[in-house]
Amino acid sequence: MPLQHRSQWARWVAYVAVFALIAAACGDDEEPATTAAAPATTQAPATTEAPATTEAPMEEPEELRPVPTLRIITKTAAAGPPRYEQARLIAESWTAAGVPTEIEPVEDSELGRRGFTVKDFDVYIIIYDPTTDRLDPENFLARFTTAKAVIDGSNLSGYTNPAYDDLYQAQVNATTFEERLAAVREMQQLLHDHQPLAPFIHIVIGGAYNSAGWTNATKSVGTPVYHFWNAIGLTPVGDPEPLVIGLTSGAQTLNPVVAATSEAAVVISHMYDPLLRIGPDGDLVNWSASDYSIDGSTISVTLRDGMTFHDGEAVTGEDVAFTFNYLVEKESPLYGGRLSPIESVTAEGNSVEIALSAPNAAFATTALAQVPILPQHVWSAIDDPSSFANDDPIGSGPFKFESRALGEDLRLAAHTDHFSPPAAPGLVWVEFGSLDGVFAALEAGEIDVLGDFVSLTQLAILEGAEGIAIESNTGHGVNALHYNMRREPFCDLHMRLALSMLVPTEDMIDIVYEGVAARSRGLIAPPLWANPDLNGVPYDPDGARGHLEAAGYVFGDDGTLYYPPSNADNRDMSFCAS
Amino acid sequence: MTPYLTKRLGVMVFTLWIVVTVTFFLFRAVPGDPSLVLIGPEIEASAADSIRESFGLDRSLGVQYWSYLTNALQGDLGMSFRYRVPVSTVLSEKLANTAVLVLPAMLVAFGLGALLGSLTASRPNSRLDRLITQLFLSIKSAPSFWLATMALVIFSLSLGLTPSGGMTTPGAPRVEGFERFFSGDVLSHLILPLVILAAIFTVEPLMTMRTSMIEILNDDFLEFGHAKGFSRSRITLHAARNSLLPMVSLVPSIAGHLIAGSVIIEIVFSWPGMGREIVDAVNRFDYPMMQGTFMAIAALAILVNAVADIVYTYLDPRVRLT
Repeated sequence: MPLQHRSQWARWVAYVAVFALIAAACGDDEEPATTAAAPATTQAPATTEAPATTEAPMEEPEELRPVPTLRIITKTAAAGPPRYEQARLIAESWTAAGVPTEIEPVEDSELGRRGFTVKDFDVYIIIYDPTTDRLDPENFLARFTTAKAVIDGSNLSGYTNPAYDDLYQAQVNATTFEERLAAVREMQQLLHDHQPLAPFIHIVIGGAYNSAGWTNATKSVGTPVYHFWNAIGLTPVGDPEPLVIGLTSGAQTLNPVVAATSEAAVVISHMYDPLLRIGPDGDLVNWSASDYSIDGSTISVTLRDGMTFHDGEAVTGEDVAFTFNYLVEKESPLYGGRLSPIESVTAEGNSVEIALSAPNAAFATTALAQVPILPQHVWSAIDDPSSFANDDPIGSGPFKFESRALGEDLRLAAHTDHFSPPAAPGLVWVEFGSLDGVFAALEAGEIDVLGDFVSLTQLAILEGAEGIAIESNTGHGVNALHYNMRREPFCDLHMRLALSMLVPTEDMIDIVYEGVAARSRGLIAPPLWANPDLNGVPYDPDGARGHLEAAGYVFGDDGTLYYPPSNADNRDMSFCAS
Repeated sequence: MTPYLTKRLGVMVFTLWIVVTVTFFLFRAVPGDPSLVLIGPEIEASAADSIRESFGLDRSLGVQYWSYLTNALQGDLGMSFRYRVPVSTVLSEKLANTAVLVLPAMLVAFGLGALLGSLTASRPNSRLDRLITQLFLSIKSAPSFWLATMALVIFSLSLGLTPSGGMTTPGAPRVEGFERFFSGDVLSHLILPLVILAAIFTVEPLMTMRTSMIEILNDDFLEFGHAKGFSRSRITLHAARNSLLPMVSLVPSIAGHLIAGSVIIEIVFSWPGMGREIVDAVNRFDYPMMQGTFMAIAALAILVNAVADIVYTYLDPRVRLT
């Protein structure tokens, strides 16, 4: 009997304990919400808080429309840890300031679909890598023009502004550098004022190589170590041996016509020569072209004398003209679009004349310095390039194809007849299963250059390793948020400004990049094209709340944010996509 | 015998067709689009259509299926989206690389399993028996990626005894053809993944051998052997021969598991085989490559099963083909 008593007692005690726990848990839930809201309001005079609360639920609570929970789409934690982590920190900051936000991690192809094709997102967190063609501001600036604000267009934000479009056209057709610079800087000012995008971080890019075995390294803009100039310039200290690059993303296709990734473009650029190249300091240098001149919409190019393809045939102007027409006709994913400003190309001997449909200041950088010259005698016979493997590529570049084992390595040999032959007898790309494997191989001296794109933070593991040199550059890429201005509440300038003020940039630099990254002052990174008057949007929770209240948004007692009531709607909906 | 073989062959072809069909539609039912994997900050979305067209994805699913099937019958498995080379070229290279790892692993696993199985069965529940079975059961139970990573950390990174991964030393002169698999360089890269893979799969043959051996050792005919005064080793030999039968039926299932199990080992050791190719192909929506790899694995499994069935009839006179 006493035993049974005791068990009944125990049961009641358990009930009470569970009840108390639930109550405590609920209380806990509410507590942080109120304390979190408190700091935001303590600095602001208490009176600003008062009208918001009395106005909202007291008078006509049924009229208020809640702002739905905002969603930031991002890569998954597995596919892109830094991006996911930054999205998480931003969502946390927005939620704490009274703008409920969630992150929505999606697979890469789904991310591409929702962002770049159907535009189905609230906020899209993006990392624009510092690719060489982004050294010219064209790539970034085009992303905010009305022409690109379509389905399948690269204007993710849906920003449409005739004044911006005019400036864009002006910088495209500018004839002097100063003229173009002025337009480019004014465009950055517009983007800053209207915040279709919140740029927040320029990553510091790292690079590493075996400095015990190789000398004569060049530091370049963009990726500091793994770039074309080091591929031809690095010189073995001891016996001649090929330069070995280790990376996780293997070479994909060797066919320039169907190539569709920047990784494939890098490999192709070693075997095929473009007319110009972007030099280590970011300036254009003559490459296959010994000379070129731009006169309005006409570009005249003179080819270098005595150039040959790897099979011994001479490189002629005919090859250049053929290449440009062929790549456009076959809709090359990587190069077709870059060549679209061309109206016609004519060639005579070593000279090529390119007629553009209008003057285009960026054409030399985006097209002439990128597009590989294909040998006409090989490609003219190929009607369907998509079923052509090009497994023995013939180009005119400083390296010629030697062998490839899929998933293992790609070997190139020096093209000794080239006008700028490489210092090493060859180049090998070795594919690894993981980045850790690449680091281990570099430390063990099995590879010479790290070929993966990494931030300097990731290279901390190699610090102090003997015989390994680490270089870094503040990149010209940018980490940013695209607000989808096609939908509420992002159509409102006050909302965008408030959200930008709530991006915890310093925290993200400390946590995600361990202190090594630069805060963005604008879309374009310094020095050349950046607008020096801009200072980004500093982190300012009070200012953010001020913006939201000025627009008439109402902070509910329960943490819900409401759209402004119709009589107090001061939202700024100019520059919204129609 | 012949009617049995024809029937068996018919079933094999039918099974393969089912596999091809199911994988074809299954992969395309996965949300996502190969052209969209490429779309992003680097490639304009407007290029998606031309990419899709060049992949043949603009045609209806039925047309794609029919052309895949008819081409596959002629040995043409299509072009890999990613490499832009014929799938069969990639497959033959990757299959060879995986075979170099998996076949010796299988031989070691079965050889060692049979040996240790008969050893432990001759002294069941002895300290030695418990030690061996516990050891291999623990290896099998440990997550293979952990096991492989630990082996890599200890033997390669700390002790520097083996290379850190891959199949050859990066940049070393390339040996072409079949000889490359016997070059010292490849063998030194092979040793660690091979040992790990074999160690993981030794437990099944070991336990199978042990169980059937214990059973057979108590059989009447060996009782007679004892009575006749046969030596202990002669009895063990007789028992072992008869215990090998269940091992044969184990081969097909282990072969399947080995290929699947090598996926993780290949990734950890950067081994350029089928396993890594499958993962890459799936990640990048390389449909022809995905189908090719799955078909190759299915064909292998089906083939190994059929061969095991046929071999069984020779080994066990009680089974007759009709």
